[in-house]
Formats: sequence, C-alpha cells, structure tokens
Amino acid sequence: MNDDYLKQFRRSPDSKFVEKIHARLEKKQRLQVIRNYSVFSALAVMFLIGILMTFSSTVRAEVLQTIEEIAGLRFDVTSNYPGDPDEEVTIVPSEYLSLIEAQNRFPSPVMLPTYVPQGYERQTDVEFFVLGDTPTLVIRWDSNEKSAGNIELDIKHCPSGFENCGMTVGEGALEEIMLNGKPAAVIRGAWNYDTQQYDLSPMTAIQWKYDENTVYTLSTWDQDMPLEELIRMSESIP
Amino acid sequence: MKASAEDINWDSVVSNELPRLYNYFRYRLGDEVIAEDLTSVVLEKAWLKRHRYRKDRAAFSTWLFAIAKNEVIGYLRKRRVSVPVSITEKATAETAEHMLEQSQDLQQLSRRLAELPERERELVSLKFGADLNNREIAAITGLSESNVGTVLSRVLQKIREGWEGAR
Repeated sequence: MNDDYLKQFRRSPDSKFVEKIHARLEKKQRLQVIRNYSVFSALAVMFLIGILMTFSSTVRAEVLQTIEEIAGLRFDVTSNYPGDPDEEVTIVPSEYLSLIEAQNRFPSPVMLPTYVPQGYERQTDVEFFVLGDTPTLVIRWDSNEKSAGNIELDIKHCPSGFENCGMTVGEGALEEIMLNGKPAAVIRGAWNYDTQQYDLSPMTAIQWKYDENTVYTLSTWDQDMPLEELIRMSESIP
Repeated sequence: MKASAEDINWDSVVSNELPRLYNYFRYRLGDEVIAEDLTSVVLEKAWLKRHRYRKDRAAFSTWLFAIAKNEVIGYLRKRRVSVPVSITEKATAETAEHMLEQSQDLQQLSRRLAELPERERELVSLKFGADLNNREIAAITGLSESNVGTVLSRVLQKIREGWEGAR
C-alpha cells in the first residue's frame, strides 16, 4: 500500500448536484448585476429627466406622461432601455450583518413577516449597502427546492423623500393593490441586460411606503409563486 | 488593499474547488449526503462573504477551505460528537446499494479514517480529500509546513500499519 492509495477514496460529485450549484451561483451573479444596473439606471434616468424638464416645456409635458404615482411612490415608466448599455456596472460594496445588528444600525424599522411560504428559510446574514444617501437592507429567504427562486425583502431608508427611492420600469409593469386596506404597487418584471428589453415574466414585487421615510419591497423570482402568497407575506409584516 | 470579489471566477470555483470541497467533507465526516450539504453551504457562504476575500492575504482555495474547516467544526459541535466508527459503519450499512459499489479496500480505509483523532483526520482530509499541498494545509490549520509534513507522515504510518494488520 502506498500513500497515493488514500486518494482512491475520492469520488466525483454527482453531476446533477454540480449542475444545481452551478445554476445557483450563476443566478446569484445575474441578480447582482441586474440589481446594480437597475439602481444605476434609475439614477441616470432621474438625472436626465431633471435636465430635460429644466430646459424644455415640451419635454416636460412628454416626460410627465411617463411618470406614474402609485401608493405615494413614484415610478418612471419607459419602453426604452434606461442608461447606456456600454456603461460599466458599478459594484456597490455590501456588508453582511446579523439581523439584530441590522435592526440596531438601520435608521428605519426592520420588521419581518410572520408568514413565510412553505419551503422557504431565511438566510442568517442580512445584506446592507448605501447608495447615495439611501441605506438599504436586503433580507432573503431561500427555497429548499434549489431550482426555485428566492424571496427578498428590500428595506430602503429615504431621508430626502421618496423621489430618490423610485424605480424605472417597463410599460405594463405596474398595478395598484391594497395591503391591509392601504395602497401598494405590484411591479412585474425586470430589465433584461442581454436583450435590453423589459421582461414582464421573471420577477414579481410588491412595494409600499412603510412610514414617511421607509419603502418596503417584497419580491420573488419564483415564477410559480402566486401573487396571493406574496400579498399574504407582505400583509403579515407588522 | 481592495477586496477582490470581482476577481473570483465562479465557473472555475465550481469546476475546480467544488470536487475538492466535496471530497474533503467525505473524508472528514464519512457521509456523502452531509458532504453535499456542507459543500453547498460553504459555496453559499463564500458567495455571501465574497467581498471579505483579500487576494493579497491568501489564495482563494485557502480562504475557501478555512470556511469549510469552520463549517466542520460547527457541524461537529452541533452533533456534539465526532463521527465514531460505529456510526460510520451504521451509515455504511444503511446505504447498502452504495456499499456494493465500493471495494472492500475502500471500506477498510473508511474505517481507518474514522478511527483517527479529529486533528489527524483533518490533515488527511485536506491532503488526500481536498488534494492540498502541505503549504496550503499549513495556512488553513495554523500549523507550520514542516509540522504538517511530520504529523501526516506519522498518520500515514499508522494507517499503513492498521491496514496491514487488518489483512
């Protein structure tokens, strides 16, 4: 027996397992790029709107048609891919905190839902990053079925009003609903970086004003999850 | 120095590091299902903590296996016991189909590994499961490179003797 014999105990991992892990990491990378790009795009579009509205009354009238307000939140609606696709994506550095640490540090209330759809489990760490003057927390629930998407709760603290916390969405993405008797926005879809089109299918989100400086957004990439489940989870947040 | 999260090639992590992690856990804990679970957990944690990785401080694999080592410690602490031979044998017996695929030699080797003290099994797992060299193992375990070599040499001798005795 020589020492190399000990290596014969090694085995290749199951190919399905490897594929699942690979798909999961790829998805995380994709989501990160989309999130960063969405934030950048929102800022770029808002800047352009500001410039145009300052200098042209015609443009001002035109632009006003592309702004929708739902539940006190402002959305820029366009069919054109926002921003410059050649622009390099800026990665916003994140910190990962325990929930208690996040609740102590975050300037807005951090409340968790009491109802979570079956098969989802909350990640221990909470992501925290600051973009401009907007601190944001992201709390995630992973599905036990690895192929399904996760659920995210984004909490934004908007110290200078909700205009800086708005989103740029495609046409047909918005719908108003009621959460516990208060208005909220359902947002369907996301910008596709590759096709530069707004795709209505991959993501569903519910967004609402939690208080005068706080926006809550509950979203999922699980296409099989009915909207009712997301509403139920949103309504269970105290 | 800036964190190097954007430098990590995750395709390469899956193709190169995942099999090493998986085999490290197999050697270390003697259970394939747990090895898959912990491999998945470690890669998930590496993704979450990617901004903390510093290229100037350690090779990516060293950083990854430091996470894996902590995961084993946490796992064993939760179970409050290491994996005794009896458990290994029971687990092996429970997966009868799996046993058929394995040779008698491999079963014997599994028993030999389960008999080792935790630290020695850790070193064997990193060396032969994860296929790391002594320098990498030293960086992960905090031992000196020569110490790793000495301990491994002693452990291998012990395994060899046990192996010969069992024949």
